[in-house]
Amino acid sequence: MIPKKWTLFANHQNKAGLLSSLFYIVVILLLGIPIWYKTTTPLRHSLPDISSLLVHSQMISNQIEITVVSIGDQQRDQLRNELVDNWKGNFQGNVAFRYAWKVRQLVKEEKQIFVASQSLYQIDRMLDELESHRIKGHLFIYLIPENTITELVSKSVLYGSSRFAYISVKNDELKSEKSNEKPLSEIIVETVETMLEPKRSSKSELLRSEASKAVDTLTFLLNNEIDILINLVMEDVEEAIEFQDSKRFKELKNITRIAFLKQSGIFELIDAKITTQMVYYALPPSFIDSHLANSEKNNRLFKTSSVPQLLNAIESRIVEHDNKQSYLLTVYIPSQSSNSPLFFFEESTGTKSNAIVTPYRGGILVWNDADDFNVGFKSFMRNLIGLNPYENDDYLVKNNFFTKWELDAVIRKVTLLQLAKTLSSLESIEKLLGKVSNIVILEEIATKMHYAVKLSHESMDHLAIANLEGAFNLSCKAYKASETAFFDPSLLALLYFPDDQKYAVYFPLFLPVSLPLIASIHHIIRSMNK
Amino acid sequence: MDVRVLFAFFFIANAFEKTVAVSAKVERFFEGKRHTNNWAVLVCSSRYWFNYRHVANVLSIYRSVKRLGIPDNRIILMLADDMPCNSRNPKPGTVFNNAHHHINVYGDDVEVDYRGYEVTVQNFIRLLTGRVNEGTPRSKQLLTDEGSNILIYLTGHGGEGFLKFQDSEEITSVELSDAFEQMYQKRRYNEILLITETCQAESMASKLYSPNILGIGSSKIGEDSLSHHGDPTIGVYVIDRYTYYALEFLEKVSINSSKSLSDFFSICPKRVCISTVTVRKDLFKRDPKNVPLTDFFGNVPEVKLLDLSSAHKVSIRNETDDRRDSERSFTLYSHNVIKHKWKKIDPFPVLTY
Repeated sequence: MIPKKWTLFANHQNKAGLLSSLFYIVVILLLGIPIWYKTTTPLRHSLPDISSLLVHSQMISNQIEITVVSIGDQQRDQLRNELVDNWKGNFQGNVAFRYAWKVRQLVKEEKQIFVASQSLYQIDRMLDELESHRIKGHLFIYLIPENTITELVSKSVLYGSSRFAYISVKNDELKSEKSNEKPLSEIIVETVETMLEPKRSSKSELLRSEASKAVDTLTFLLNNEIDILINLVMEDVEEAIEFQDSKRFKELKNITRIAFLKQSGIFELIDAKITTQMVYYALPPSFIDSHLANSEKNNRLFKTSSVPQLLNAIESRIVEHDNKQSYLLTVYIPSQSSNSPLFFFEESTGTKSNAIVTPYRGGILVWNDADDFNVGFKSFMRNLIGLNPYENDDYLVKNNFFTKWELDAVIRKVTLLQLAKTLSSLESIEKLLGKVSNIVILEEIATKMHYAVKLSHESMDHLAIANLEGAFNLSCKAYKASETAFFDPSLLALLYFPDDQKYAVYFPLFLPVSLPLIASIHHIIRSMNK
Repeated sequence: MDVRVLFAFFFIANAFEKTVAVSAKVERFFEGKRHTNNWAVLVCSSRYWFNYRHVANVLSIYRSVKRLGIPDNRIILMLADDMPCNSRNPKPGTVFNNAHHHINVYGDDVEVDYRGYEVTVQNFIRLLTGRVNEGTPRSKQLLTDEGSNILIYLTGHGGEGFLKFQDSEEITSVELSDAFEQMYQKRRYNEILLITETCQAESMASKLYSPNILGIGSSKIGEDSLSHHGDPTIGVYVIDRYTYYALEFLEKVSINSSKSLSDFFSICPKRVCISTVTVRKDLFKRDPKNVPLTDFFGNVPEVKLLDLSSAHKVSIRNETDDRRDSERSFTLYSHNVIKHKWKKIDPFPVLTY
């Protein structure tokens, strides 16, 4: 049965016109509007749940496995109870540490080492050979009876080159030898805290010390790769020609290639590459002389206020690789034959040194004496990863670049910073989508974000079970994923028109089409009403 | 009320409070610092000989920031046309700021990062947001961080709410402000000083909504920004009024100058500029009177002496003892490192027919 109204259409005089207007309506409804909607609405794949990550990040706790080994006959149970009951962790500051104490006697392998070794240096080295003692982030505290080891006589605590610290204690007593008023447990905890966050020494490590800016330098380490660019500037061009055969060049090569890249353990933290280049004619002939303060006898003092000009002059001459970030270390070698040593001089404080650092860029080292490069390069590298430029007095071994516990502490800091940056990147994408409505999120980007969230969660879980290495590997990947997601060029797939322009784009197309359409709709309605 | 509802309400309120506290903490973490490095993005968006003055404008600022210590690798210079080498330039290799040829703003070494048809809206936005295409060299990237103060100088032909690029496209003030918001969200800057030298320049800063940006425009909405004077030897106008006076002012500024930003606001009064210089200060937190000009136009790196007097030497261990260590490398990437990235190519290959 055809409804009455439809027969009306069937009998309609202008059948073709009616059909065409129906066709237009169908095309507009089924094709036009969906296409318009599709092309003006940015494609957005669903984002991961970032708030859960935010909540999780607030509950990061770093579990620290600490083994206290007593060598004498101290009352272990009492010490264990005291540590477990009173020192559960450290929740001050931004990071929470949860201590997992283990108090025990020497095991068989350790006993052999202690019996066989002559000195604490040897013990320190041999203990590090044990596979069980090489876990990242795991700390060992050895309580050594007083006067048994010569190195410990004058000091109550010594920090080893690996993950060990040695505390000298009196026999039969739970008190440390030197400071009678402090209980041993407290000294142990202080030692642990130092090993977790290597403190800056009270001595003047930077001559013009301001608030420590460890976070600044740590941002260098976030990408896990860095190019260290050593620019050699020689005062005497004649000497530069022979430099390649000189003893200094050999020294430079050994320190950077072998001692730093291979032996320092830096590869645990970052993929460092070192490039050395000779910069000829970097400075105008009398540049140095024109910026000298009133010289001391035999020494030239270069004003620190003129360092920016010096840096700019050198940096405009150097060649850089196409990399994300480089640490520029300029090594200035004064002429051996004719000129006196050069130092940087801070006029306001009257201090001088042959090395300066500038945050985010690197530094300048003047190679006056033979050992300057050795000492200077070490200090720069320690400064680069946010450590004190040199070891404190209570370090057992001082001829390494860094101790393993220091490196562990930096790795932990970088892990936490990477997690924080991952979170802030993901959060900022989420916030941006709310503010800038035309951002496109492709499936690939959404996947990367999901991946970053997942890895961050996992990394935090690893921190909670004292697996620093696993946590670091995951946080590196999470950081990378979140960064590539944020900086992906596809996020700029649409330019940011104001919304009204969307209509402007389509309006000229729709207008001529819509005029006859509106006319026929009007016609249809009229026919139906008849 | 149901106990469960009450409990849920309490829980949600508690969680919300926690989240707010956390983000406040994160904000403080990033905001507590002052700036540590300086960058400059200098854009001349117009081409053709009769726009000589726009190139002179941008090179004037380039000259000043470079002289005041921003290194070339932190200056992104975009020049849409090459005036110094234009065949109509009677003195090739020069761009002067006035008809008496006082200052050759082209100088001896200019590093142009984006030139000619590379100066596009897309490239500019990509540069700001950091979303550059893969393989973009470092010199074409703005590698700023939360400690960077950025000077952004735009010159060209503009109208209300847009700046024309290359006679073919324009950037709108909405696009610009959204780009700044993206930079803010990713903490790519500490503070921005945006200077626009175009007609109706005020409008470029009018849509901004991200914090810590100060916008200076050479003219009000509805006003033209005028050129200063012409040079009969080149046949066109040499420089625009606002930048002419800006350069005159900046030439007297030295690295250790105590001039403040608010001094810079009054460099071009209406009687010489003819247009009205506008300043948008509401997004900027500091008082411009207390902001040294060199916080944007210069770069005074923090220099610290490193005391090496009590540092100890590193000793190199015997290599044979350390075979275990020397064979190890950074593990994260070691599985997918491409060992031979570059193929060696024989410069004199033996040809076989």
